[in-house]
Amino acid sequence: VTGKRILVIDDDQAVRFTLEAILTSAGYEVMLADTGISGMRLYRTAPPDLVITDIIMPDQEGIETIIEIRRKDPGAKIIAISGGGRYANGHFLELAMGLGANAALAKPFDLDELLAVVQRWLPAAANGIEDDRPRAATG
Amino acid sequence: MDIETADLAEGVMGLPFRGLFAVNPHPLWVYDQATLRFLAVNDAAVMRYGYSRDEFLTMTVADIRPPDERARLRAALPVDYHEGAAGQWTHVKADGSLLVVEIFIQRISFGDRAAILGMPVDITARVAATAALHENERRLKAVADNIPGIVFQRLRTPSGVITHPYFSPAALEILDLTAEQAADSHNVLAAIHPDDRAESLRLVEQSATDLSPWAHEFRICRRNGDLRWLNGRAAVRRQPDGSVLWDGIMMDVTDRKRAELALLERGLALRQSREHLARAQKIAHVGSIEVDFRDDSWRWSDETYAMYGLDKDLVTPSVSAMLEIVHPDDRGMVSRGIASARRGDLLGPVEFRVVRSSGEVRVLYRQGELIRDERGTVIGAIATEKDVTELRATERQKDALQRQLWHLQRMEGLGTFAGGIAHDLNSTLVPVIAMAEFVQRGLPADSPARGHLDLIRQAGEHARDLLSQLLAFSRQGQSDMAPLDLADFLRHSMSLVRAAVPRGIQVVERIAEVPPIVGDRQQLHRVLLNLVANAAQAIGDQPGAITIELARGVPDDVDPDHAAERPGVRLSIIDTGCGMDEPTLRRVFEPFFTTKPVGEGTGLGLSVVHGIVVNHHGRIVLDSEVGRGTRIDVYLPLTQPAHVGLTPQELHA
Repeated sequence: VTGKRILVIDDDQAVRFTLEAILTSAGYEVMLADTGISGMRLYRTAPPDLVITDIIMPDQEGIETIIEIRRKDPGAKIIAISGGGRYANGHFLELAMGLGANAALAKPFDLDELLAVVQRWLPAAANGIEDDRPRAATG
Repeated sequence: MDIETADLAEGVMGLPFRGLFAVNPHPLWVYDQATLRFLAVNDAAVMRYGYSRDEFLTMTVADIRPPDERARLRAALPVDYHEGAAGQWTHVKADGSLLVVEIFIQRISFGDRAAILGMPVDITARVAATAALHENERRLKAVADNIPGIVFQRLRTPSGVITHPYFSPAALEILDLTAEQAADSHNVLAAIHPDDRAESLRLVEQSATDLSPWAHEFRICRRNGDLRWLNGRAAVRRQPDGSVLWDGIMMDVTDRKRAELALLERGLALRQSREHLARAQKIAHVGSIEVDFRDDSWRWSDETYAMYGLDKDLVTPSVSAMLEIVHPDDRGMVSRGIASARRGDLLGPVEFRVVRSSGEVRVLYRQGELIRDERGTVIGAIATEKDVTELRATERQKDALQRQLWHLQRMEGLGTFAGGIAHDLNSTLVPVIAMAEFVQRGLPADSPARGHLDLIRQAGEHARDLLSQLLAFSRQGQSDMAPLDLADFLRHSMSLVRAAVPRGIQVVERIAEVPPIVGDRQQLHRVLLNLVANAAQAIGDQPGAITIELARGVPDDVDPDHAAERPGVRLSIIDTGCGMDEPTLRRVFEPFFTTKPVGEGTGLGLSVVHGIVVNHHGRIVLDSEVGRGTRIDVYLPLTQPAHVGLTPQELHA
C-alpha cells in the first residue's frame, strides 16, 4: 500500500469501477465521484494526491473541475481522461492540458498506459501488478 | 332550145327577142295566163331548175311551188297582172331543193293565147344573207340587252366634246341614270367615283391621242350611295371628220372585285398570322410539324427547320429526312412513335436528340395530336417540338448539385453521429480493454481464461480502431498538420505498400518531385494504404498492376487560367482491377458502403480517405470502368501559392 490517495471523477460507472480495481490493486487508496460537484466535495473533505477526471460530464464538466482544483491547489496533480468530443472541434485533452492538467489520457486506454501515467505523477507507488511489457510513455 | 320552141318564141316575140329568150343566162319562161301551163322555157331555166323542157311543158307555175306557195299563188290570182316585179316566191327544183326568187313578169301574146313572160331572179343567197344579218343583229341586241354590263359607243369630236351615241339598256340601271340624264355626258362623268374621275379622263384622252384601245377599271357611285366597280374596254378608230369613236363594253365587276379584295384581306390576315406564328415559335424555340398520312406529305415550320439545322430551300420535309438527323440511338423510338400514330395510337410525348450537320446535338421534346376525318379515321397528325437542350442541361446541373448536396449532408450527418457516439463508446471500451488486461494479469500463467481475455481485449482494441477511423472521417480525429514532402513520404511508404500487396501484383512507382504540402503524415499514410488495399482487392488473384503516381496538378474542372492560382499535387493510385459501375462509383465514399461480403470489410475505408482528403482541403476524382480498372486521383493543395509565372501586376492585384 502506497498510502497515496487518488480521486477518480467519471460519470461512467464501469470506468470508475475499472479504475478503482486497477488502482487499488496497484496499492492506491481510491475515492470515487460520479460528478464534478461531488468530486469537489470529496476533494475538500479529504484532499487526494492525484485526481483523475473525465472531461465531459453532466452537471459540472471536467474542464471546470480542473480549473477549480488548480485555483484552490496550485500543486495538485491532475490527469484528464476523455473519450473524445461529443461535439465538433473538441480537442478536449489538449484543452485540459492547457488549463492545468498534468497529463491527459485518451479513452480507451490499456492497463500499462494508465499505470505509467499514474506512476509518473505518483512515483512512490509500488506496482503490485504483474507487468511483462514495455512501458508506454504517455502524457 | 328545140326548133318548136324557138319557132314559137320567134313567132310570139318576134325575131329580135327570140335569141334573147333562148340564150339568156337568166331563166325565162312563158306560161298561159289562164291555165298557168308553161308554154316555153329557156335553157337557163332548164339548167337552173333541173326539169327537162318536156317536163316543164307538162307543168303549171303552181306545180313548181311548195304547197303553201300554191295557196298564196291561187290567192293572188286572178288579179290583173302588173307588169314588172311580181314579188318574192319560193320554187321547188327538180331535186326538191328550194329557190327563193324575185319574179319579174311581162304580159305577152303567145300565138292566140294571153301569156306571161316570167323571169325568176334567184335571190336565195341574198335572202339567206339578210336573214343571217338580222339574226346577228338580234343576237347582238340580245347580248347588249342581257349582259351584266354596258355596251356603248363614245364619240369625241375634234373640239373635245364627248357624247355617248349608244348605251345598251343596262347602262341606265348600272349608272342609275334616266335615258335623258345618260344623254348628257356630264352626268355620266359625274357618276364616276371622284377618286377615279381624273384617271378616267386621262385614259380617254390618251386613247384618243394614240388610238390605243381604251381600258379602265373604275368605280361609280350610284345615287343611293351604292358603290360599283366597272371594267371597261373599247376599240377606237378615227372617223373621216377627225372625231374619234369608241365601241366598247363596261362590265360590272363589283362582285369579283369584292371577292378579290376579301381574298386579299384574308391573304394578308393569313400572312400576318403565319408571320406571327413563326415569330412566336422562334421566341419560344417551338417548332411544329404536320403530316398527312394519306399521301405521307409533311410540313415543317421555319423554327422546326432551324431546330433541325436544315435549309428550308434544300430539304423537303419527310419522315426519312427527319430520321436522318435524329441521333442513331433515338431513331427507333422516334420511328416507332410515328408508326404508332399512323395506326391511330398516339404515344405520349417523346424526347429525342437530333445531330445537326455541324455535329451539335440538340434535345427536342415532341408532343402530338392526331387528326381524324369525319368518320374518325386517322388521316394525319400535328405535333409541336420544343428545344429543351438548355433546360435539360440546367436540370442535369441542378440534379448533380442536389446529389452533391445530399451526399454532403449525408456525410455530415454521419460525421456528427460518429462524433456523438465516439465519446460514449470510448468510455464503454475502457473496462473492455483495461479490465480484461487487469483480470488477465491476476490469473495463473497457465490459466485458459488468459486466452479468452485476450480475445476480449483484442475485440475492444478493434472497436477502438474503428471508432478512431470514424472520428477521422468525421474530421474530429486529431490531426497533426505539418509541411510534408510527399515524394519523400511515398518513397518511405513503398515497403509497407509492397508488403500489403499480394506477390502477383506489380507495383509501379512514378514519383515526381513536388513542392511540400501541409499534411498529416499518419492520415495520409492511411489514405495511401487504404487506396492500395482497395486496388489490390479489385485485382484479386489475377495478375495486374498498381501504379502509384505523384505529380503537380489540379482537377480538370479547374479553369486552366486559374490553375496557377490554386496549385496542387496529384497522387494517383491506378489499378488494372475489376473496376466499378456507375451506382457503385456514386456511393463509394459513403460510410459503411461496401462491395465486400459481410464480415470482410467495414465500408469505412474510402469514407475515411474522403474525410482525410477533405480535411486537407483536397479533392478526390474517381475514374473507373467495369473490367478495365480504376483510377483514383487525390488532389492536395500546395502550401504556398506558386508565384512563378505571375506578372507583377497579378502579384500586386
